[in-house]
Amino acid sequence: MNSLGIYIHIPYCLHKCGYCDFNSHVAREKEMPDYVSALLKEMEIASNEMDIDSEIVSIFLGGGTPTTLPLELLEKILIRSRQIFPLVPDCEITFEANPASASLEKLSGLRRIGYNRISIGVQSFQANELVTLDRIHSPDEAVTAINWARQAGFDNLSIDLMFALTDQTPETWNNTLNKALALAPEHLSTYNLMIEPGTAFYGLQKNGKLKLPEDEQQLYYFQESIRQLTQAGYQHYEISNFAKPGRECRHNKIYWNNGNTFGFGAGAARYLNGQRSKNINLPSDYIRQIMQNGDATESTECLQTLDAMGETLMLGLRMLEGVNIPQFENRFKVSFHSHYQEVLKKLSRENFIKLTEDRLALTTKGLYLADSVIMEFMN
Amino acid sequence: MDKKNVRNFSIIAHIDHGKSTLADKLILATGGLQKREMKEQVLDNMELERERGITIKAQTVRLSYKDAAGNPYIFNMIDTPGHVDFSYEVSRSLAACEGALLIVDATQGIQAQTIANLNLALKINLTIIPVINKIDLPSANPEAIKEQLEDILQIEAGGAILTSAKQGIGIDELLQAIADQIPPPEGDSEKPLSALLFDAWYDAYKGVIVLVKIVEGTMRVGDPIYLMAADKTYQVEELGAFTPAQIKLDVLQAGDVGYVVAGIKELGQTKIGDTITNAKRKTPQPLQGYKEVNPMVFSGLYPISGEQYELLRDALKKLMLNDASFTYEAETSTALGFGFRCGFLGLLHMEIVRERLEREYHVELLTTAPTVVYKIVTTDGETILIDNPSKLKDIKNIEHLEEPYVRGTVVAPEEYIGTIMSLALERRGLQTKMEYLNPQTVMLQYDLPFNEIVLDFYDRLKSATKGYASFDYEFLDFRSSSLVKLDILLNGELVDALSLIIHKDKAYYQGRALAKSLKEQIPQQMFEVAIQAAIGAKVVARETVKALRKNVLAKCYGGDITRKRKLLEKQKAGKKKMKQIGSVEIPQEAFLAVLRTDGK
Repeated sequence: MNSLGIYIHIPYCLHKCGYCDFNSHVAREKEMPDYVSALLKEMEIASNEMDIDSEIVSIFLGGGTPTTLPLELLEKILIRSRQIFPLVPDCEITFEANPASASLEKLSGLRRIGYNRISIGVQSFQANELVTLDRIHSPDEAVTAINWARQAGFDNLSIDLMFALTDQTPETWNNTLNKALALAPEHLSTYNLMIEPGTAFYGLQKNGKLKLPEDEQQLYYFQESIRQLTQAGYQHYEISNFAKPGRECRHNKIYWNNGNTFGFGAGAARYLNGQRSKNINLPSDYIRQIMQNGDATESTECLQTLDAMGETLMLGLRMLEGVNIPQFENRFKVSFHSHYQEVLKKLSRENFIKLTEDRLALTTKGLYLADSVIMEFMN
Repeated sequence: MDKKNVRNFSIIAHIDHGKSTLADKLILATGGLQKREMKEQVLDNMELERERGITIKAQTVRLSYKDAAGNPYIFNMIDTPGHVDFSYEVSRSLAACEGALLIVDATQGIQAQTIANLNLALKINLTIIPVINKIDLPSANPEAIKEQLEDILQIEAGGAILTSAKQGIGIDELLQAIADQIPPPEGDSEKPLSALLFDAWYDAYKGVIVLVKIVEGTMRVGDPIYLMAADKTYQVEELGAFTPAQIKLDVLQAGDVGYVVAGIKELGQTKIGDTITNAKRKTPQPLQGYKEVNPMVFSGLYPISGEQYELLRDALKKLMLNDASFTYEAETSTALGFGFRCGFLGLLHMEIVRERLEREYHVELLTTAPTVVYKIVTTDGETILIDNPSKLKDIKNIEHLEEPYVRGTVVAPEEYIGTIMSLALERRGLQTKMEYLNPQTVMLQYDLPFNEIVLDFYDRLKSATKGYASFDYEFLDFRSSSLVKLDILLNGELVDALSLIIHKDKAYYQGRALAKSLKEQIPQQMFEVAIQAAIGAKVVARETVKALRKNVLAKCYGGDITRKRKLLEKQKAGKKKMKQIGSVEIPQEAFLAVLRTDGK
């Protein structure tokens, strides 16, 4: 059986945050029904072309903010997905939510329809940090949203947090982590703030109006997350992700295992049969192109074996369990140990990697320098 | 034409005083070229020369001139390279002349190169016609320049020709002055042949073309000729001159200047200053003044990627066809791998060669810091020359070391005297002369270790004097000196390509400066990099490039993968351009780190 994930992009937000470089646009309610129609059309075309022995193990609605869509549109998406795709019985069905666009009613509705995992963008439990981050919700609203999600019946809940913020101190980060732990989510993501080109923060940083903590300090926050969350019984399973046993995000693990995924919607990326492609970003363009041609692909890349190998390691090494070597060898028809002999020797000697007969993983030291280590394997 | 109507002359000037423009105007005025055929500054024919506005390779042009009274003349205008690196070539070109036009910028006056070039001309008793150029400029002060010429250079300047080459002013007067003042060549066409070889270059079709001045005797097509210093015999295939268009001639006789093609395949056989005689009727005495030119500045040239080694070798070989004054030999560096140690006449020459290799042969080069030649005298009384500091370690029982000295001439506004003196002192200079050219301008002369000026002396001088100082130098001799070898170690490993020889008193300071400069050049890596500067076993400076602490992207989901991979691949490509020494990655610029210390 060929297991796949489905990613569905909802490109609308109530407000674009200063650090955000995702494909998100201020919500236009009039456009939403057309957008969902286009989405369903794209999904139908894909399902017709899908291999017969495929099964769908996860659906992930990301954004933007999926919860900006009205309940009936979110319902439509899931119902249609069930009709046209072979979902496995315990399929993980996640949506991302913003505390500001959640309500008990909407969350209950979503749970009732069959969404079974919620990922809430909390970012911080400090009011001032949320203001600097340009978020439109308060810490209390975040707590309320989480409580509503529990009331609605979500027993698989994830919280996103961010560190290395301008006004953050070890105390405030500690406080945010503790508040998150008190809410006992099944899953936690802690992200180091990155300033991406094209964002408002990028401009501010360039003009000297935004100063991030020094590397050493950023590293401290990262180490604190690992220390506190693992102590609280979470497994650190990916660079920025922690989960209670068995609660890792199945969808994201497909990416890190460099597995096949569909991607539907404006700006969505997919990886099928060794080919990566991506849709056009602007929702109105996406709607028009799907409606006219049934396709809104903006770019396609066919990977050479060496690039695909590098990519597989780039993704796999992000997971603490690392890369399964026999699977890698089977996939690319190479001898792993001899192909990477020099690099492996060098990195082992410096204690950046752990190498066993069938797994390659980063050490703690290697984790902090993951990109430098990964680069050694790149072509 | 009767040789009493022949005039052989050169133009000598400080850089940018208008030599090339004036030469162009002389060609135009005598009808050597129509205006539409003129590319600006026709004599500078290499792309690089044109870009840099300097003359590297001398060119010689034969012009036909009729004076006001209708007398016909042949003018052989011999262009000279304008840079100190090529001063021997200049001296040989001048030796082919009976006179020289000394051009001085009417706004700038006498500069260091004016003095150096004039001295070369006076040494061989050339008739000097002073020319004050750029008189059209508002700040031109020809009277003051005349005074300078008389007071400082002891040249009768009352009859100096005032010109503006750019505006075409004074060109006719100048042509008449050449006819009137420069004596015709002497020599007897019946005597055994004795011709001065003053320039040569490689032509893809004809082989080597040499320029000669016939001093005595006659040369005909078909004659067997003998190159005395090269000890080679050839047969004359073609004779001629450039007007600048090439014209063929059957014969060149005493007093004539022209080119010779004689089936010579290697430029190395045609030594500038050599005497050419008739193989069947040899002159008993070669002409005076010939010497072997030896490279003064050495540098390692390494291909950035090892795959380009063969390409570099072929390129050097081909370049040698066009430029016999640089040398190369294979060398191996533990740090840089296989490459070549190349010798140059000076820094400009080095840069020209390096640029030509990159531009014309597409070799990506890593250049090590230039070094001078050191002389080692052993306890056995043996003398060894070394062109690479790392070779010092192979020599046992050293009695003492010697380093080359130059005489440096600086001309600058007098307000900078203090600055120049302290700079020269810093560079171990010994003042030998100080003279006022006028109340505002001073000339200073120093004996300086060449090592001290080879890197950045001129740049520093320029910046210390807001660009007003001019500088020139000539070689003096080797002098005994307290020199030591300064080594650089990275994580305990000696990087031979960074070693340098330096005066004992400066070694500590330079060691510290070099380590600091390297610290800035070497990027953070996955582990700590210790930079040590050492003299022998003694570490004199240590700097540390701290290990990178964090380099990890927070997110990598479906939409990020392609971008992330490309980013890493791009970074990796950048890393590949670095040189790996042990486990340390060093960017190419770091090998010139010594140039970036402030050099005190």
